[in-house]
Amino acid sequence: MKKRKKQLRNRMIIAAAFALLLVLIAILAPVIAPNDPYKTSAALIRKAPSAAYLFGTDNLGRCVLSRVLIGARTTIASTFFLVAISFAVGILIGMMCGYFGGIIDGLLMRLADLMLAFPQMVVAIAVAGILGGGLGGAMLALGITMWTSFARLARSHTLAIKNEPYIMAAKLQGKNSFQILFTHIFPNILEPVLVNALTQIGTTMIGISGLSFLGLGVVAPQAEWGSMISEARAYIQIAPWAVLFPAAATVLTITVFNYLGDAVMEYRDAD
Amino acid sequence: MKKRLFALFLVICMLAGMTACGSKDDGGEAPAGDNILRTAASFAYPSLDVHKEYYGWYTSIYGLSESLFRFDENAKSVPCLAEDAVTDEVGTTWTITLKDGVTFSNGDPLTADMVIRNLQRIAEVNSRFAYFGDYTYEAPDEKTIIIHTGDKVYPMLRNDLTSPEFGMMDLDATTDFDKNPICTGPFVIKEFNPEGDVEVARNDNYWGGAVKLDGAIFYYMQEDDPKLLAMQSGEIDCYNSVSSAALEIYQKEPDKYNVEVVAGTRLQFYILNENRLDPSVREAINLIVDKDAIAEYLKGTVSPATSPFPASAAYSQVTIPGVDVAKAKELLEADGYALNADGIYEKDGKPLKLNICYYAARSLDTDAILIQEQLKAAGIDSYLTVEEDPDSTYIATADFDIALYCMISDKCGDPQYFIDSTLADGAYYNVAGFKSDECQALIEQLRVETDPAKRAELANQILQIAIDDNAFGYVGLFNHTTVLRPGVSGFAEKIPFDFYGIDANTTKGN
Repeated sequence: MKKRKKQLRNRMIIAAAFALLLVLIAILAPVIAPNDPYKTSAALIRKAPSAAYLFGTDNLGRCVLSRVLIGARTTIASTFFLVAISFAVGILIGMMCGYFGGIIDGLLMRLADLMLAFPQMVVAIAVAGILGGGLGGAMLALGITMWTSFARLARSHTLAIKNEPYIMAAKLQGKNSFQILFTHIFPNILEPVLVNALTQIGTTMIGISGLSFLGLGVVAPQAEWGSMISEARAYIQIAPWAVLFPAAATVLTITVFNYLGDAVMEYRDAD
Repeated sequence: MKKRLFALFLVICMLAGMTACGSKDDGGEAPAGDNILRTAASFAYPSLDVHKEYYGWYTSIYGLSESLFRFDENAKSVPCLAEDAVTDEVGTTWTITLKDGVTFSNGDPLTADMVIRNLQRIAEVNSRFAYFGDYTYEAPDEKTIIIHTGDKVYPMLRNDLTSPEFGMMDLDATTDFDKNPICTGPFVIKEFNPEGDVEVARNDNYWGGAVKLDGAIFYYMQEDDPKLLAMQSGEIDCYNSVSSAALEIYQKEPDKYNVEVVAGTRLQFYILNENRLDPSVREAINLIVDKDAIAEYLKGTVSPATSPFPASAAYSQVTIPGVDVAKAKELLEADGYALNADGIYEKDGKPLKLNICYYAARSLDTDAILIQEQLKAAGIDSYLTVEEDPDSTYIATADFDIALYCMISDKCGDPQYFIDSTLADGAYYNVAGFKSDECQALIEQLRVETDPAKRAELANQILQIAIDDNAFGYVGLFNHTTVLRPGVSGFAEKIPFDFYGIDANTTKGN
């Protein structure tokens, strides 16, 4: 059993190291990008990978490697931000619903049911379409349905512990509801909801890249993997590298974060 | 071990399945040797009513309808159903003579009375041509139509009658205008799917002689990629409006594909908002934007615009200053702008940051990115705003500094349509403050001038006023690009307009 736990911990550490590396790359992208990701050049249109341009150039002669690196910032940062906001909103709503119950619980959970009744991407496409282009619109479109999974999880864990003796003791001490929520319930439900947040990173990244691919995400010329794939697919037969590298970056990053989420969950469940 | 063997078996099954799916026999390749032309259409409409909206463009492409005149390869209006159209000295009475032997696909003859009724119907159902309802018509005999335009001189009537919306229909025999109009063209409708694929068959009663094809199928394909793949797989024989990436692929294999590129009249341009931008800024923008560089990125699909019209036109003889970034900077600095620490010009502590609006079609997205970059290199910052429908957004609200747009500048061999649309007072695209009494007076003259040389001269003066005012910037003119399989010809590949397709002489070369 101990050996299994150790294996799972090692797996989690390796996944976390890769994830950290990706985050570091995203943070340091402006420093490590070999060229200006937005600099166009008519002389360099659709050049194959070479020593000067390791990932080749795109339809406007821009360095694909530099755009993939800068795109990492856009994609990873927006994903983290969206997951964090959804996590915060979801956990707050879930705790309040679970703790107070009653009409608020009924209303908010029916709203969550309503949101869950539609596939997330379908709602996101509709909302992003109404809001027009832009990364903010795309994030809002995904966030509208994303908070529900955090809220449901937080609610069920709150329900499970709200009648525990230590909560009763806190009540008898005269602590008000908000003190109990934030000092006693929040720390005890944080772990499972946080693990859920980790597993959401990959899905969210697919969502943001997907909306950008459809032209509902970032506005040109901002580098983002989904929009880079979308722009480059028109000339995939003559410059496959312009599609291949941002696509590979997307697959790799999503795999790493999904793997990390799974590793953390398995490690936690092994207790 | 058993599990692994089972997994291996599954993988082999999947691969076998995928190979079967990719088989060419299942790919819908055109049957070899038949005489049906297969092509792709970028747009599909809900109706085939020739007179309504722009549906006539597609009935013309499908080879169903014909107008009294048609444009030739030199954009000149030449006889089609009509022999000639002459005007009196004043320009208010036109006499049109029909050709002998013109019949509809049902065998009924095209008469002068039917032409008049067609013109009156167009006025009723198409608001762009409502003024045809103000005219009076006479049919002194079966082949002659006289049009009186009242006190309004209408010098370009013949050119307008060349428009595909003026295709003639048998108004008595047609029972379903939307799905099966009876026209005079070399083809008749076989199957019409509203906003979908269209199939036509040879008109055995065609008045113009033998029709070479047995029929044609127009597959509705909006995107460039499916068209490219369909052409490569042999599913289609030709198509036009080829993208620059596809053009490059076709040009690499000249034995497999014939590519025709002729100068077209679809113009990429931008409107500079006079209500927001100082004259010095507008002039600087026009001195900075390098249309030759932009055309280089859009290899083969766009030619740099020297005016709104093809350079060869008589009404295209204007002077546009070349790129001169140093002069642009001088102008800005003379007007009180100075470079800030970020390398951006600012005035009174306010940096120049322009809103460039565009829609992601007709390569305007590429134009927007390149213009943004060219401006930034010269010290003018900007941000891009993309809209799906420009007409209901930035054109309607004029909420922009620079607005990119694409339209056909010359659709009837004359400059008046473009000038009326963009420069006249209250014109649809004159939304950003351009106003000149001198220009308006010249436009009024253009509207009644009958002599083509004088019309060209007037147009050149009008355009020059707008150019000198830096009201607009003309970026590029799309080439009319067509790709054809060897042996295929007659797909209007040498005509600079978008509204022609198959005709009696179109052939697959079988």
